[in-house]
Order: sequence, then structure tokens, then C-alpha cells
Amino acid sequence: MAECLLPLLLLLTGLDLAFVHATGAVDLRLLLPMLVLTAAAPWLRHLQRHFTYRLLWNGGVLIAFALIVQHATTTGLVHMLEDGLALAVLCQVHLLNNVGARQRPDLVFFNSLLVAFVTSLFAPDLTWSLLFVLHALVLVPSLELHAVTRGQSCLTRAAARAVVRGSLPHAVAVVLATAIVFVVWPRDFQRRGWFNELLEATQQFASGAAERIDLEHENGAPLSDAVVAQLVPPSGRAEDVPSHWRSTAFSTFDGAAWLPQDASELGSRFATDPAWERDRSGAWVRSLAETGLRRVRVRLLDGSQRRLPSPLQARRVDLQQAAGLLVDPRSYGGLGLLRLADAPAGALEYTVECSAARVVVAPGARARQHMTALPSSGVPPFVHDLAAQLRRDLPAPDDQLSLALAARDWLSEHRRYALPGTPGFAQNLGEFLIGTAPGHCEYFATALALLLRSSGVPCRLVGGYLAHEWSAADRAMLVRGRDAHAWVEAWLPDGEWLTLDATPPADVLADSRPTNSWWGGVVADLELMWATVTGFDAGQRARWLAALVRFPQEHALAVASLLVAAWAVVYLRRRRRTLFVVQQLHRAARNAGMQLRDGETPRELLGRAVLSAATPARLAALRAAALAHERARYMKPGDREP
Amino acid sequence: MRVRLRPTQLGAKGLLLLLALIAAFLATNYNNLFFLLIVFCTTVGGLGLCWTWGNLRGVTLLRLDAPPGPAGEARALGLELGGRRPRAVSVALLVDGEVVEVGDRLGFGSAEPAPLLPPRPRALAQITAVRLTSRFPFGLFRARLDLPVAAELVTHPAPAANHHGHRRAAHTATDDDDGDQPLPQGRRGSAVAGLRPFRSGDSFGDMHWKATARRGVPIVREREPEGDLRCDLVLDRRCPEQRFERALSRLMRDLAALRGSGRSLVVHSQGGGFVARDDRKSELAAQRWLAATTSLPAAAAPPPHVSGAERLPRSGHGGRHG
Repeated sequence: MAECLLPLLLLLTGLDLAFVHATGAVDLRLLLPMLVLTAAAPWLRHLQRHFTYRLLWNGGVLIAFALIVQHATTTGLVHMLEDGLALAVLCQVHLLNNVGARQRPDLVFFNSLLVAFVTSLFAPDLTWSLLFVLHALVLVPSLELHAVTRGQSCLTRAAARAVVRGSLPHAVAVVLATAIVFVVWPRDFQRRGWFNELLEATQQFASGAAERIDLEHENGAPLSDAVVAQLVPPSGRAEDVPSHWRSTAFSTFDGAAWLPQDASELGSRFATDPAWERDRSGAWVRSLAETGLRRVRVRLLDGSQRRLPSPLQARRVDLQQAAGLLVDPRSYGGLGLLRLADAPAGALEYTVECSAARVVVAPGARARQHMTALPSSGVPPFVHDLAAQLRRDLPAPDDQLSLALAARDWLSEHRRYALPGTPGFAQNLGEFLIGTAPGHCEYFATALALLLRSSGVPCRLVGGYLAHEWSAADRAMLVRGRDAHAWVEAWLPDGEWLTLDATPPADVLADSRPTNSWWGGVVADLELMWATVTGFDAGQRARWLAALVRFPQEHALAVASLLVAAWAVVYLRRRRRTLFVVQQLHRAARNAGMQLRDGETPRELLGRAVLSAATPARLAALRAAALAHERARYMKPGDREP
Repeated sequence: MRVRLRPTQLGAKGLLLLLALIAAFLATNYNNLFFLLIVFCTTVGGLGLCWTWGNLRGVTLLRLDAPPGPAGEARALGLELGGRRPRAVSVALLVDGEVVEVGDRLGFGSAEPAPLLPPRPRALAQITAVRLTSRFPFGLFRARLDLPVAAELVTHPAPAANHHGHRRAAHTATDDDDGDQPLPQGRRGSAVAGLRPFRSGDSFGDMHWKATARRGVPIVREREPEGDLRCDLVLDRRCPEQRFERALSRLMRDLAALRGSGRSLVVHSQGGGFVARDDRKSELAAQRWLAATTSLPAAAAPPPHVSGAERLPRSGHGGRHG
């Protein structure tokens, strides 16, 4: 390997360390020694010729490897990611320090790509993307220098610089081509992958497709960018779309998990919510006052959904195509969905009519008891202390509405939000409640529900989607897989169901992050831009292509100008090339002591030069210049050389 | 002229990695960053393929000078490529079907050394093509372009040490004096006819040092020849290989000594011979004959009898073959 390649390999390894650091999964104390070994590689490599050093180095690598593996196997799945990434960068540093006579740089390139790939699954999108652009701008020149120096171990420094300089246009072209293909290629957010489908089928068979919220086994929810549903208000205004769309309600907490609301425990199927009935037109209706009605057309894109998400105040649900579909009114006021064999594949459309009226159902004693039940274990003692504290701070301690709002606000203000899988995420509900670790919406909702139930306020946990991403182009609210959410519905003494969402909205809604500084604004803009790219779907693609087709018609002058400019560039380049060979001919003639006469051809000039006293070297230069001139002026593409 | 492409070892491994990535991508949920990585790898591969092909596309051969040279010595070639200027190419010659590497061309504006033909054995060979190979730019694919050419590669025997004592031969005499004894030749005259550039075989005694210093190239005195202007030699090819080669080396030395002397050398042998005079054309023909000739078995016909001509090899006329 040529020495001149080493600085680029060093940069590549440094970027790999940055990739891993961006995930936040590996402690900086572990990455720093790797960084030092990377920076010292130019000197350490020279020691590789000593047997003792090689023994020490390889022994050290083996020991580090064994320690990481031992750590991974003894600390459980929690540290698997951390250990895996640490192992990947350890390999990269080891390869870098051994590259040379024994080790070709091929593995350094491949391992670098693999590190980029693995970290793409965990690092923040924007950070990873910026690092990836840098990575591409280093990887391409590295490959090019490696290809050029393959046969030449002693490339001069100037030549190496020339190669790297020459490779930069290639690197930029690769990045641009990647960006164009990435943006223009249609997305397939609905694809789940054969492995996932296989896994899902197995799980469904094993669990009977049971739905539950398990707080102790958070392996990271699949934060898919896929658009699950489009909510289209006929008015075209975002304000007309309710934010919380319910899928399932959970009313039983066993200390570790929330279980779906079961009518058999309530004594009556519709003991908690107004019952759904089918009207003559086939739509599903329930008895809510017809005040302030708003309609939303829902396009459910996720074909695997077994619920028809709807807001708490949904009054009427009308399926567009009911053939092959069975709607099941659930005890919590939602609608389940069964797909028969002849069910239409793909998207499903239905219209939801929402009322502005309160949802009121007089609570029965049994239902009330069920909704305030706490498990004998699994509830952190801090819950009761905190609930008592909140009650004490209220002007009217028995006011359940005030208590519910106070508990929601307290959690929202005093507890931090984080997604599962991110560094420092709470290992259990206790950690989150005490405040030592951040948690996600399920922790916020559970904490709020436990606070309310410990104060005797009936409530349940609801799972569904939070609609917040308004697409001005579609005039619709987009609901993505990552918008899955959990919140609480409290049952007030007068029988009203009240939606309470304790999760800090600024953390959940990507577009409502505070931008206090110019840098924050830039980051927010970049993230918004990136969200446009990641959310680029078939509809947007069709609009872009249509705009591309319309562009020449609408901007004929601009297109004509562009074409003329392109032609001018080609013409000038050709002319410059022709001028160059003429200049070369004149220069060669001058060097040979000759002067091109009027009307004299280069061949005639050459004939005169042969008879003159020009040295062989200058004569050869003149011959080459004359030939180049002939080729540039008179040869057409495809002509054979004379 | 078609550019042939094939993946390199690095390219083949890269292709496997890409296939593995695509398989993993299809097996799991759609992921944008995963997709971005696959697009990047594919773009590098696709553009690398196009650029590797484009690097050699349109390259033509303007000139190939393969001057005759002595066996066992490297020699510089004259090579001029036309059309597109390729980058990072390895240049090789196809000599009688054998690929002979002659050097690399970086093509990044730096000074390019002349291609150097490695030492070759005495032979008359045909150059059928100039082969350009390049991995530029990413090393994922190797492009190969054969530029057909019809040229002779004359590798004549290395001249034996001349009679002034400095060594030029690859072989040394061992048990006889075939390589050391000069042929009888006309004495060099004392009258100086003029000055000319030094040529292989010239005596150092004839060096004109002042002119050499002034012009920057070795210059020797040209002397008027005296005495006998023609020398006849009989080469008996029925001899062992080693002795035969030594005899050829000596002939080569005498051939070099002809330059500027005004004399001629006539070599008679089985199946013909050559006449070398003090001109470039006959010298090239003699070199060609010396490059192509081979030894004969002991049972072969004897060489023609020429009265007064010296026989080579001196101490044998066959029978000790092998």
C-alpha cells in the first residue's frame, strides 16, 4: 500500500468513530482510546515489523475482543448495540494499524461501509446524513488513490496530490448522482420485508394477535416513516382534524403491562362508552349530540390494521367499500376490523363525523371500580406520594378535573421525553417516575394513569396515533408509523370522558421544536428539509414529475436560454481545444526556428523544418504538434488515424 | 477496438457486499437511510464502470518505436498515444502472444517515464498489439484495450567485449577465444576525416573530449579507413548452443565496429548470410539476421567454403553439439 493513502484511511476511520458516536450508544470513554490509536497509526504501523510488538498488539486486540463479547453476553440485550458498535470500530482500528504489506485496504473500505450501514439504523437522521456526505467525499478519493497506486508503491507526494485533486469532481458527481437517485426513486413505505412478515406471522400464531402495552420489554418501537393514514378534512383546514386518533383502549394494568379493555369485567358490553349501531345506509352511528360537526375523510394505507382509528368524539363512521370487511364495535367506543378473504387489498377509505359535544356516559359502580383498580405490585411507591403532593397543592383537593389537569401538567413539565433505544432511556417505570431517566409516551401515560387511579379518578390508557403533520400539498394530515402514541382518558364524576396527554408536545411534534438561536433555526430548517426527503412518497413524486413536464411549457424562455447556454459551452470548449492545437503548432515551430507562412499547411512547414538545421527533438515535437493539429481540425469522430 | 471490462478482486467483493445489503434491505422494513446507502454503493459501482470504460475509450496508438536492442538489456521504447488521454494505465506489449509489461502511465500531468522493455533473450519476435490496462478510477473494474500493431522486435546478441578491452558482452569466453579475438581488419588510418556522434563499438581512443564537452553528447573522430575494406567470415552453425551464442556476440561486436569505418563484413553460413556495410540499413538487416539465426545439429550441411575467410567458431566445426 502506498503511504500516501494512509491519511485518507485515517480520515475514514475517524468518520467511522463519529458515526458510532452519533448513535450515542457507545460511551465516549471507550471511543477515546480508539481515536488515539487511530491518530497514532502512522507511527504504530512502523512498529509492526517487530515480532514483539505484533504479539503485544494482537494479544491486546484479542483481550479487548473477549472483554466486549463477555460484556455483551453478561449484561443482556440492553448493551448488545453498544458492544456491537464497539467491536466494529475496534476491528476498523485494528485493520488500519495493520494495513500495509500484510493487509490490503479493501477490508478498511468494506468495514467502513458496514459501520455506516449499522449506525444508520440508530443515529439521528440528519447527523448521520451529514456524516455520510463527508464519508462519501473521503471514500471516493481513497478508492481512486488506491486504484492508481496499486501498481506504483512509490507515488510522489505531488502526484498523490494531483490524484486526490482529480478525484474530487468524481466524488462530487457520485454524491450528486446518489442524491438525485435517492430523491427521485419512488418510496415503498408499505413494504415490510419478507423477514418481518415471517416474524409477524409467527408471533401472531403464538400470541393470538393479542395487543398489549408491555412496559418492561421496550426494544424500541419501529419508528417507520411510512404513511399509515391520510386524514383529509373537506374544509381543507388543519384545525378541523382532531389530533388524537384512538385505536385501542387499555383498562387493566397488571404492574408490568396494560391489557385491552375487556367488557366481561365491566358487566355490560357498552358500560363505559356510547354504543355503536348500524344505520340504514350501512354507516356506524352512536348517540352523540349533533353540535359542531366536523367531517374527516380517512384513507387508511396500512393494510395490516385491525382497527379503524377514530377520535373520542366520533359520531358516525362510514366505510366507502364495506365488501369483504366486518366492522366490530368495541366496548371502549372504537371500531375493530376483520378482513375476510374477499376483502379489497390495499388502502381503505372511510369518513368520520365528529361532534363537538362531550362524550358522557354515567359510570356504573363496577366500571368505576375497574377503572380505578391498581395492581398489588408493580406500582412505584413514589406514585402515591406524588399524588398526595398534587392533591395538597390543589385549592380543592376533591376536584377530580383539577387533579387530572395538574397531574398532566406536572408530568409534562418535570419529566423528560426520550425514545426507547436512545441512550439513558429509563429501564423501568420507577426510574422514569423518580426522574433519573427519560421515557416515552407510554411511560408518561402510565404514570398519569397511576397518579389518577391512586387518587380515585377512573381512567384508562389509549393507544392510537397523534396527527400533527399537515401536508399543504395534499391538504391532508399525514399519519406515519412513528406517530403512534399513547395517552390517557379520564372519566370524570359527571360521566364525561376527558382526553389527557402528558407527553410534552414539543418533544413529540417535530415541527414545534423551539428555535431560539439562528443555529437552532438552521437545524430546524435542515431537519424539515430532511423530513421532506424521508417522507418523499409516490404522491409527491407524481407531482414533481408533472411539474417537470409542465416546466418547459410554462417557462419556454428559460428552457430556450438553457439550451442556448449549453450549446455555447460545447461550442466554446471545442473552439478552445482547436485553438490550443494551433497555439501548440506555432510554439513548436518557433522552438524549431521556423515561422508558419501565409497559406502554408502544417505538413509543408514540417517539410521545410526537416531540411533545416532543427535538432531531432524539436523536429519530433513539431511533427507531433502538426499531427495533433491535423487530427483536431480535419478528423471526424470515428475516422481512423492516418 | 473494443474496451473489455471485468470486475477486479475489490469489485467482486464489493458486488457481494452490495447484494448482501440489498437482501437485508428487502428482508426488513423500508428504511430511508438504508436505501440511501444502497443507492450510494450502486452509484459508485455504476459510475465506476462507466468511467473505467470511458478512460480507455477512443484511445489510439500514434507511434510505437521498438528499436533493436541487445539481449539481456532493457531498452526504452517510443510510445505515443492519441485520442483521449487515459489515466493510470499499465502498458504492455503482446510479443508473440506473450504479455510483456513495459510500464505505467499516470496521466495526471506529471512527467511520464518512457516505457521500458525488460531484458529479453535473443530473438526476432512480432509485436501484435499494445495492451492498455486500467483500474481507474475506483479500482472496482479493470478495462483492457488492445491496440493492434505490426512491428518486429529485434533482440540481437549482445556484442562481445571489444578489442580495446572494455566489456559490453553478456557472455564471457571460457575455454576458447571465440569471444575475445578480433577479426582481422583494416588498420584505422591516422588521418581524421571529421567528427561525428559516438556510436556503439567506437573506440574510446577516438573520443574528442573538447567537442564532447561543448556539445553535451559523446563525439568521436572519424578516421579515414586504410587497408583491406572487406572482411569475409564463415559461421558454422553446427556447434553447441553456448559456443554458437559466443560466436554471434563476436559477430555483433564486429558489426558495431563497422560503423564509420567504411569497411564491409560478409558473413557466410548455412542457408545464407549477410553483408554488412557502413550504413544503417545493412546494419539493421544484419542485426535482424543475428537475432533470428539458430544453431544446427551436427549432421547438418557444412557452411559454404570461402577461401581466405576465417571460420567461426574457430576451434570447432560441429560434433560437440549440446
